[in-house]
Amino acid sequence: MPPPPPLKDVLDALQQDVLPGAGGAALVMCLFLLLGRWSAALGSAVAIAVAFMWSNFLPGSDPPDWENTSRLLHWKPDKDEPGYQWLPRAALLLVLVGLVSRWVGLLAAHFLPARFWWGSHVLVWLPRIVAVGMVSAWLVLGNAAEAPVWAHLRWELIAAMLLVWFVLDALARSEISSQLAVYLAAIFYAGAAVLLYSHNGTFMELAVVIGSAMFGIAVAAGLAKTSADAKVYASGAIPAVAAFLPGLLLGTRPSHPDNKVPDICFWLVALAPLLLAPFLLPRVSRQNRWLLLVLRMLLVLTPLIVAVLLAGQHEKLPYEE
Amino acid sequence: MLRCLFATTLLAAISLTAIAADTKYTLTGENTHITFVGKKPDGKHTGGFKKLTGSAIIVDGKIESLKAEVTIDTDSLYSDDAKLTGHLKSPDFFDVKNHPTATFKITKVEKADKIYTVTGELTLLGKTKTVTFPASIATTGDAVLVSTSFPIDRTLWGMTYGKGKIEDKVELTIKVTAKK
Repeated sequence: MPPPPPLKDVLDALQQDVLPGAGGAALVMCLFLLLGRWSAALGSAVAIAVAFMWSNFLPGSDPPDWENTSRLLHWKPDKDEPGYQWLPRAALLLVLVGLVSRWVGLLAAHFLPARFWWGSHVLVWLPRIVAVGMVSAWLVLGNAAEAPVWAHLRWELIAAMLLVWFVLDALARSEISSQLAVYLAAIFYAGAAVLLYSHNGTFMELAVVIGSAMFGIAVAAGLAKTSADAKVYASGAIPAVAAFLPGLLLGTRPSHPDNKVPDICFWLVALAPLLLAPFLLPRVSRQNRWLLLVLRMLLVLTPLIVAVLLAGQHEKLPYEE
Repeated sequence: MLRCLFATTLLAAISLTAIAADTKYTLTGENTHITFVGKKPDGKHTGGFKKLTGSAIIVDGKIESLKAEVTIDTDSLYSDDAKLTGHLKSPDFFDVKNHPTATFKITKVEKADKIYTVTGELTLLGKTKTVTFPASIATTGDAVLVSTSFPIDRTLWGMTYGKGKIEDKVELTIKVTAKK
């Protein structure tokens, strides 16, 4: 069991990552929910964007400009910058494509004849697949990812992003939407621990920010969910998760400093949401809700705990050294 | 025939004079030491770069004509703490895997009282910014001596990690003793 981090570091993380992330997302989500539950999906998309912008904003620059007001990642990446600097842009594009394709899909489902039921799914997922292919090219930019050992990185990212998006999108439009946001917060926090063990301060903070944003969305959605059948969808934020989770855990590996954290730790966290896929099956999802809750928690937490413990066996936390 | 021989001799003499006027110095990690001091509220750390390549040229012995270009191998970074060295090489600071080199190019040298004011372009993390600093520069026999110490604001190159916990200003010290 590692010693607790220094109090000053905890307070700094609370002030710079957790509060802006969770507070910003919860605030925006609540504002949208005031308009009605129909705006929850759009609200969650805006919430995660605001949470990132608030956490990434660096005050006190004189004069403020694009270059000196970004704390973790640059607002505008140059064309030759490494892939991780493109994560916000990738997430933003996926969020926009996710929202528009969903609206197009809904319209198509309404107007297309019943025998063309598959048409709306094609209209939803084709642009998403194209968008993932496009952003994956951004995420493998940079000198580090050009090494032959990372030749398959782009395909790994495409597969991970699409699978994570597909599973989470369906779950986020079910009655467990706000619960799912809590699981995602836990996944990002576990990812932050693994990234901290691998001595990546910036990436660790990013994982905390996105995890906190999901927690903020979950709190706001949970507060608005007054009855069991009142669905509050947090699906608008899912494309950002599909970009940041594989992007941070898998896509940043070429840039990591030398460390002994096994590769499997990053994969376990990045693909943890896929263990929720069985709950998409109607036969499974009709079981007792308490049983399902326990099962879901066990399935999500087990790989996370294994990943963090395994990372801890191979590396020490920076403040332990 | 004589005229032609005279012209050729004259041309050769002019060329040789021009070549002789340009004095080139080779810069390496052995004769050029670039070190830095980073400060935080409860202490400071020193570090530097072991490997670099480059050259400096002085025309007609005039120091104001000094032009130099140095390419620093960022992976040769060292510090007073082995773990800190690893962290400094990470994307939080120098991101050596994506930016294996940093460059510095002197573009202008002006006499300012007993010392010189040097203006140059420092490229770090893929960003190029102009820096101006005072330096003492001298030539002795077959060597050029440069000594300077000046602060740079690391955030101007996008190195914003730990802002508030680690000072933005980093003191750079450059000492050159290069021979022809």
